Amino acid sequence: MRESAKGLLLAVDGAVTGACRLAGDVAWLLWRTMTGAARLDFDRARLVNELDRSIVGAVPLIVLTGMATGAVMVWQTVEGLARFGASAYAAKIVALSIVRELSPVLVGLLAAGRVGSAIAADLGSMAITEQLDAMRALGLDRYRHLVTPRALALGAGLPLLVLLFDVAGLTGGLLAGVLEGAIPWPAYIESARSALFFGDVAAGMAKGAVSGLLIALVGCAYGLTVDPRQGASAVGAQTTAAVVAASVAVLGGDVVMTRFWMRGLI
Amino acid sequence: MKLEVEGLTVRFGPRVVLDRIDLAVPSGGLHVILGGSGVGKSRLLRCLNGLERPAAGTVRVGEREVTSMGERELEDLRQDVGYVFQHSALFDSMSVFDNIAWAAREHRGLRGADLREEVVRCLARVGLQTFVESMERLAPAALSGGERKRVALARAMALAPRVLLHDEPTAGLDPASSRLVGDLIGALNRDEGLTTVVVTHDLELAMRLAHRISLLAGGRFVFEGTAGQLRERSAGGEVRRYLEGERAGDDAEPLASPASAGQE
Repeated sequence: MRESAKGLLLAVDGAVTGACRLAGDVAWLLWRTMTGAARLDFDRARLVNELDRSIVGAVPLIVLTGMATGAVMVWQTVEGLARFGASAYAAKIVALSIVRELSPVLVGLLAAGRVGSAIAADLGSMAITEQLDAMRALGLDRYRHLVTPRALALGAGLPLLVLLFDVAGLTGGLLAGVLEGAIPWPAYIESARSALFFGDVAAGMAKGAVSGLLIALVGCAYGLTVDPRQGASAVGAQTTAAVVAASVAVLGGDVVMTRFWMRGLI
Repeated sequence: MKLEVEGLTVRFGPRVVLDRIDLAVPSGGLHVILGGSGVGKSRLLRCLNGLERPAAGTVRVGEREVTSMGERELEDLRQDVGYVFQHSALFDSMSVFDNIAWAAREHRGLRGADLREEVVRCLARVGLQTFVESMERLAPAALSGGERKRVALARAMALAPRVLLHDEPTAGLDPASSRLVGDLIGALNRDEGLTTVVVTHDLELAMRLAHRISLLAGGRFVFEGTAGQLRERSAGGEVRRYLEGERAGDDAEPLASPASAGQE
């Protein structure tokens, strides 16, 4: 009993220490990103490369996921609301759900898996093959070349993916509703248009910007702290941890921003 | 540019890896630090350009004290101190050209034709002229071990350094490539006047290149002197046995104290 309690306390201690260390690392990387961006002191070629790889490269996945989500949402909502004779509201509910919540959260989680893991694995591989040390030995600033371009690319690019997901989701819902014969397309468009305000779209995109920044910084924090002496297994472990932490950060950021937004604080 | 190390102590957890090491390399000197695996040679080398901070002691490069520098100052210092890693550490997402050009572009402001000319010069300096045609699309993964070492050397040379540090330059190479890399290190030291420090377990390389040799064991230098002085001791296989003993983890007795070696 005493042993298991001690084990539990040690596990809690380890988790708290790890979370504090990660928060410290992310805060430091955020500071370096902000100061680097303010001075325009970052590798522009890598920013373009990262935008291409992480944002443009994700377009097919975002369109596919958005259309599937929109279609499923329409089928589920129409069927559910029909029980109360309220099918006419389906397009409004689908539009608000996608734009305000599903779009930023799903795009964030997809990016955490797709890009957060890639960043952590990329930097972790550089750590175990001494490439990070080689950068230092050549007097090359790792923040300028590796961190700031990634953070800016994801911070600027994820809102665009959120917007794309909005469009794909609404289009998927429209096609599903029309093909199913559940909602006539003029009614769908008018209903969705009247339900949405610019603030809804902007709030979703703002969540995307915060998620993008967090995913990049968490990925960088885990990748840069791979211990070269532990070899390739450390890269795998840190990559998995980065995806988990980035996903939690996306969900946590969403909860906080939604609460603030609904209280009119942002 | 001279190098001076005083009282350098490096720990790994509770273990003392390097214990109050002193070292002086004059400007243009070629100093080889010889020792078995795991005695702390590479960690000593990493302290020389600030890649690692010692627990105690000072490192001076020219008139600059490395151990008290912040990361920004170290970035400036490293433009004078080239470092060639044991496993080359080439940037595998870049071509051979970009590997060599990156630091030259960043620190020396070279662009366009000037940059290309400098990369070609660096490749020629390490005997890789044949790469010039394909360097923009040639990936490090396509190179042999010896070629990777020479590209890493060209990358370090692109900084136009005044000090060059080599970590196990012949490790993992066949005898012909080892000799070629050793000849390059000697030629760069001789022709360009680069202050050079080589850490290695390759006794033949040390004997062939060094102006002075330090033998590292048990965290201290147990011998310091010229190759000739070391040869006298290695004639009976004493040095080789010592290195093999170090690799096996034996508690070998020092061959000579640094102080007595200095009197030789």
